Amino acid sequence: MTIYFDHNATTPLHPEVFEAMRPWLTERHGNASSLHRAGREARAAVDAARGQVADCVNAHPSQVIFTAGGTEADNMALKGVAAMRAPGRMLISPIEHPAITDAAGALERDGWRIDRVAVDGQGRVDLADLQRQLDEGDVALVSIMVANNETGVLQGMPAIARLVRAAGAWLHTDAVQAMGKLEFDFAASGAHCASLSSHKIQGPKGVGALIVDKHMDMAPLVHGGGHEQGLRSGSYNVAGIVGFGAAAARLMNQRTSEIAHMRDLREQLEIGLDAMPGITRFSAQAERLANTCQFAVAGYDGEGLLMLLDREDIAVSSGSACAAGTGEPSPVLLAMGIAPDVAQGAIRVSLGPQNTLAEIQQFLLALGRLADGGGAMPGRISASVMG
Amino acid sequence: MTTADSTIYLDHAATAPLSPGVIEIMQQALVATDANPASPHGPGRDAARLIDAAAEDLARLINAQAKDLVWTSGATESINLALKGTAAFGGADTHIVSVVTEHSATLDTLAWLEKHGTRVTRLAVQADGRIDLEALEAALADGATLVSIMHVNNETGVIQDIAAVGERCNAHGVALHVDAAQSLGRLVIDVQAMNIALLSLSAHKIGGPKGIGALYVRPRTGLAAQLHGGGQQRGLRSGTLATHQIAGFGAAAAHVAAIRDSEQKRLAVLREHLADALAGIDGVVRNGAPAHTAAAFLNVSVAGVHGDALLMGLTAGTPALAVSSGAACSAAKGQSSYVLRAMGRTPRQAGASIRFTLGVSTTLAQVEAAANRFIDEVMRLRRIADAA
Repeated sequence: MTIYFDHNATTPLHPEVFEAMRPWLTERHGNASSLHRAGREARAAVDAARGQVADCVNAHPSQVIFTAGGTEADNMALKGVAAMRAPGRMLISPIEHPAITDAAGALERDGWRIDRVAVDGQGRVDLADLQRQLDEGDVALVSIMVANNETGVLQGMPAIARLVRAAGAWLHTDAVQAMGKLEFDFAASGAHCASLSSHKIQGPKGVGALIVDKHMDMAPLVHGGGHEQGLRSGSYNVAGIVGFGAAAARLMNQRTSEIAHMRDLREQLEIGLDAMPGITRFSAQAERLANTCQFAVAGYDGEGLLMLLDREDIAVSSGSACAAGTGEPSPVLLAMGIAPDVAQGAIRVSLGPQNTLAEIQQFLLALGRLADGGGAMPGRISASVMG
Repeated sequence: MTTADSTIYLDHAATAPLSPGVIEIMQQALVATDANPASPHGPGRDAARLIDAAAEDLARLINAQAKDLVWTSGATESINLALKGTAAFGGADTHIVSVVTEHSATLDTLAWLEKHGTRVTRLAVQADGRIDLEALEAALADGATLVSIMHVNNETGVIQDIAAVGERCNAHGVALHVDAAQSLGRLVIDVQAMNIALLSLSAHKIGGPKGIGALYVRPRTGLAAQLHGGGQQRGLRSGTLATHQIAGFGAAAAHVAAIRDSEQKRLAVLREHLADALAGIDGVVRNGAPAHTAAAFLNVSVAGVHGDALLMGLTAGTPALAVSSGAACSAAKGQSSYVLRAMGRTPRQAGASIRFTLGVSTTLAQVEAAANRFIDEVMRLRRIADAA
């Protein structure tokens, strides 16, 4: 049985979620835009899910725009704002998910100026630098994630929102990792829009949402048919949306205890790690998601160590799944001032509610064995990688 | 498909029920093979293998190579990517030639591009719904850089001669994008023989799940990504791949490949049976010539009744008919059919039109019951109109 410690990449679908989806994959197969009964039933199911997602993050159902996932929601926030006006400035943090940094890069090619707000050694946004950057003017949008996918570090959204709102800019936040691992509250965050993803909360892949404040001027990213108040066209992924709704409703009921459970497990993990030689934990001094622990083992390459653990049937990550295979040290860690050779060794453990203390103990044993394995191990960092 | 309450489902162009075998592979992917397919660990590789197998099945159906498929969230996103991606890549010289009867995914995207400076030419259609190839020729000679045309119209089922269009595009060195949302699984699609550079596909019209589609991209076609992020799918479309959706699409593609030819023959017979029965009352006109209309489609205009009243009457009543008056997406906005108006129907006729689309679960008994129900409803509405 695989020990799955990669919940920030994706979570296993909850059995209850599959049961909620099943009828919409089988006998209830209508197109939610059709006027006949099969269509109206599907539409009602979509709207019920909209309410469940809204409730889970304390938003209004009319603020929920369903997308194909977190990446699309992130792209929509940046490009949707950009399309409504002449190019100006946007501010992002240097630790954003590639969906934000790459979308910002695309806007840069269209004439936008993208500036990065500094973070400290723990990965927290420097509010004084944010203020300075806002004071330079012409900022259309600021995008700062609630919780980082690699380190789990949390940002103080309300404080950020106060500064951004006072400067008259829109605030977007990528809440993909936050939903499920803390009680993300859209209204309290102060953000004007927030990205969510279903498969990070034990819902199905291929569905997400952008929560959008009605005051925002935003253009759609996908045209045709005018679904979702004209902001996102395309036939509804009814089963996927129903699954997202069911996952959100389940989460709302369970998250307090699940978060506490993950926090307890992580504490045991970190006690174990801290007792091992040569371990550097990242963002250890900052407030973090309850499930995430990123660290490096001195002398080891993260991807190599990942593959060694994989042979022991333990699934972890060396960063975000999307960046896997690039062999580059994590841009998130580099932005925090971590030396490249240390960042190269990063391993991310991201826990889920189903993980157990026994799995933590097995993981620590395996890691201890590998770390003692000596220089012949393929995970051992080589001189060329170091160079 | 008869739903719990004796509805006869004749709206397969809006969406079709899942084909046999699809839910099983989706369940496997959802429940067992549920890691992120971009993850390099064992569970991630297992998920990636399911995706690779699905790509082979879908590619075979259109005579393409699996590596040339880009997964999207559906045909609408595929069309947006094809058109915006081509325009962004081509820059100021872009000239897109399309047709007035395209799906709103194409028309709305073209309107957006036009607003942002892209040159767009929209070809008219003839009374039979087909384009005039000489008009296409003229547009091609006028600096076209992309032709975007749907294979089978979603309202009427009218088939455009894609092979002929592809030949002409090829002669001019112009790329061809085909919206095949309604033709996949119904007609033969061969991207090589038809000279297709870009092909938009949807799973849920062929018995796959909703929320998944694909864009075939011929190698060396200039296309700029529209969703940026983790760099999945060679950077052409970022975002975590939905393994269960893709696996479901692949299973539906494999299934439809096996049944397509026999099934289309069967539907053509049923469709003609339905058309003959409806012709039993006055004032019913068929939209689209049968010889150039996909077998699943029957679109009729009805004189002497109001379109909304007819649709409401049919979709309520017993047995209820799940039919539509056009595209599901236009239906939700209560607009009359621009497709039929482009074919020369008056707005009033276009309004009183009904689309029947047959599918794998459609039976002769259903078709007969639907015809009787339709005739009764039209007669009832005409009596009310006469009395008023």
